[in-house]
Amino acid sequence: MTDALTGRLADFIAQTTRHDFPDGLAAAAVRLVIDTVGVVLAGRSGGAGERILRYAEQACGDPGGPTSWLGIPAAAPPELAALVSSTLGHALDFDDELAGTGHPASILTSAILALPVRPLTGQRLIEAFVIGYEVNVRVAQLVGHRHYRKGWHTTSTIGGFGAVAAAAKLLDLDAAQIRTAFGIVGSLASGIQRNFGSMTKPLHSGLAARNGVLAAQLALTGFTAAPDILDGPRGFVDIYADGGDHPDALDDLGASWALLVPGATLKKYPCCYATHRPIDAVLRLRAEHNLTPADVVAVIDRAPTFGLTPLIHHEPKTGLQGKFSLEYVVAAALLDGQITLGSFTDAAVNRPEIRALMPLLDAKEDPRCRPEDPTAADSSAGTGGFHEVTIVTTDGRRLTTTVEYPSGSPKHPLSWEESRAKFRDCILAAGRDEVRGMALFEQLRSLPELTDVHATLERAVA
Amino acid sequence: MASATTPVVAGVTDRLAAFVAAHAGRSVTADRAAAATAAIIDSVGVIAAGAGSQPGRAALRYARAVSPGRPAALRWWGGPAELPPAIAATCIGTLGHALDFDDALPGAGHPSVLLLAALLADRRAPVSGPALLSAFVLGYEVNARLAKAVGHRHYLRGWHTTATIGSFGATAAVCALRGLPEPAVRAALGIAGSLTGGLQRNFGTATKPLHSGLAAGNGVLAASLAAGGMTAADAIFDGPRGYLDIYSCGEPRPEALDGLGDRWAITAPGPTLKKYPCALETYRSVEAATAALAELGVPAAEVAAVECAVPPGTMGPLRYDRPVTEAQAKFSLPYTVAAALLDGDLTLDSFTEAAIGRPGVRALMALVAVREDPACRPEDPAGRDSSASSGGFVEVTVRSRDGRRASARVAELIGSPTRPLRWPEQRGKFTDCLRAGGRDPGLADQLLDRLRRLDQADDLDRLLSLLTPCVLTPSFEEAR
Repeated sequence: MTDALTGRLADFIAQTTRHDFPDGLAAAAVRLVIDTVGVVLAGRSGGAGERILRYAEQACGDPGGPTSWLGIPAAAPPELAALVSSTLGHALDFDDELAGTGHPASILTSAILALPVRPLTGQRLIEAFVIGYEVNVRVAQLVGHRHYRKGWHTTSTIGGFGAVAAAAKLLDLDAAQIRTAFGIVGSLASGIQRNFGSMTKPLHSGLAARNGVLAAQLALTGFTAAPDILDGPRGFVDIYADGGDHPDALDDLGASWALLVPGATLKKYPCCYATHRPIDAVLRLRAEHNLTPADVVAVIDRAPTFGLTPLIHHEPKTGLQGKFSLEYVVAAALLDGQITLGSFTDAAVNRPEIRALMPLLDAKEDPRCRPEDPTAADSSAGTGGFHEVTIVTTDGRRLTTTVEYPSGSPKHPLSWEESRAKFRDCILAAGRDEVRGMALFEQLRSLPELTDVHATLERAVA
Repeated sequence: MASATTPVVAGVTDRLAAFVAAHAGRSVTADRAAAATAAIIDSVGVIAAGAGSQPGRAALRYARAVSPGRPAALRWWGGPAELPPAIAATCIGTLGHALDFDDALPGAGHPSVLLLAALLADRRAPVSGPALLSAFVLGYEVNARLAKAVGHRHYLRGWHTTATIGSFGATAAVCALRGLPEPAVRAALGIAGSLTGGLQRNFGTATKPLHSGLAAGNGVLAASLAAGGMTAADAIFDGPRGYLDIYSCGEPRPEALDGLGDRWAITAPGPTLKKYPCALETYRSVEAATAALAELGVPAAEVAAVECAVPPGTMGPLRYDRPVTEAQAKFSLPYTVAAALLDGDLTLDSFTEAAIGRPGVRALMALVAVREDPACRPEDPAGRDSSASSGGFVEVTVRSRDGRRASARVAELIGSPTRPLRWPEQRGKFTDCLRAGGRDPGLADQLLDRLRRLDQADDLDRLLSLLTPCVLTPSFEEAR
């Protein structure tokens, strides 16, 4: 069978319904959707968010009529709404993450909410989200980790497949139409890590959502495409796996669900996931030993192989670069005792006292910190192995701690209280009304019972 | 001489951004203007024709379905006036590539339509003829240079250069039209570096023409976002894990930028205008087969075998040995050769499903054999420096039932700069295109008269409004 992969995924999407979901799957999706709504709303406070909203305003002109929950005309083309929504969702690098797959939740939620399916019940949203999530993860596993190491940004390149799966489920495409939509999305896949640390990184998330919506709608409009885009020589997987493909990634499709195993990570800190373990370590040592920056002469981070690769900004000048700077986040954790949205303004990054602390970091990758996969052949930057962080103090002490799993990961999930605090941080960053915003948080906890999700969102931000 | 200086290996992004910013708005020399005008005329024709095609109708349906606001007036290309410019560009580019009849720059794909689509997408800002020509020539140049810099391995790997590298051409063109300063051009190129997709696996489907549209849309999107202050990488093309490293499969060729600003691809070599509405890779076989049959002097029914020897790489895009649909037939060597032998020519009518299904042509197709032969490209047997449609030669031998044989060899493509289409052929093609797109072919001469004086036009959208569908022809009716 030359079309085994594409065909299997298309059949899975067409045939699976929420009645096939095991216990806990819908609830896991609800946690992610709530988190995503928060970060999408907060996105307007970031540079990329501001730019994408301005772009949408210029692109649409003034068609009249109401505005959507995103703050753009409700009549905007769905592909544009998806682009805006998920760029907002990733603008602060505060959305969820899954090792090896990237940041699917904003892409999926944005694609689903951008499509003209109204009224949208919470049940249908969850169904499309879960299926899109699973497909996103499986396609990421198909192309394998060498894809990312080559320089592509999996969130962007593979996210389109998740988005198109969610869109196809929501629009009720049949298996043949889904294959066509997959063929189209294969020609839309793009996004390279060279753009990390710029506003184009959040745009990647927006593009993935847009690509899914565009491909699904084009398939409905009568576009044709290859029915076997993932399969065979010079197919998507062959080209984008860079020789590291895993065709067995679909073996237990439908039997195991990535939302449950391993489960998603909700981000506690609004910056690159590869920084989260060192941040946890520094905050822990700081609290345990009552340290102030004046006590510290060095911070030594021994990281897993490949664990520092995305952290390309050693002397960040902007808040956005700061999200990809281990030097910066370690300094900010030492100085401020916390990492919040407020840590990533340009002003915060350029504080003189921060600049003075940044040279204290000595970070190196060490294969010893990734014993299970020393060459990181199958590992992503932010997970696997451990970080070993040692703080050397002015009085000569060497304080060491190791972190395997960061806060917010499935091993240390955010509590509802922590999720609520994050949502509030997001509502305030968005300049929205706190009372209505937090009421939205509570309503979304009952997502499976909602009969018109768009109306719920629009009321909350009106 | 500037071209003799040592290239700055790490500076592809620097050089291109500076080049675009420095040349934006400059008037172009008469020879470049003439070459660009011919390509633009050809592009307008095939965009109009696209409305009669299946991918074109799908693009128009999409445009109308997503257009915001009240039902609006139509524009010359058939889409609603209120469409966001990036989406309009995508639809126009799809229309223009829908019939595979738009011009080509071997090695760089089909830049003209996507450049024009990007430059004329935004109706809210009038575009003059001189501004169009200037931005078009600059976009064409960036497209051609980057296609060389990424090298032919990019295409051999499976990407469609029209889509991937075309995105940068379109970005450069729109940046030039908008007169963006160097930092914004650099950002726009950086954004475009995260937008480029397009797989040859989709050849023979409506997604292939969509690739042209996507490149155009990417250009508008990247330039608009950069103009609005969106930031991107400083050096998108350069160094390990930069765009060229990834998409050249590890063999970037920064020396492709040598002589930037000295030689211009719009005239050297200049575009190849298409004589037949199908893949360029079929052209030499079609012509050689027709010539061999003529030498034999027998009707196609007397043909016993057709043997085509082509340079390695030719068959990459020609994926369909037994095509069924219009889009597949355009990428079929057996079909195009058989249809040309049977009908004596290839026209838009050769690619209807009825024409493709004729028993006579099916029988003849079965007699066509193709082999890729390194001897057909002795100067570059592996095809490393060649495109799929050019370099070396094609040789076709036709055998007749009475046991005779004749061979013909074709090296230069018909329509290429060394064998250009003559004006009556260009005019004839333009007229055919209007007819195919459901427009009044009687408008051709009036339009051509205006378009040939492009350098005097002050508003292209107005100039082209003659093409705006006002009476709903069957093509447009179906698209609604």
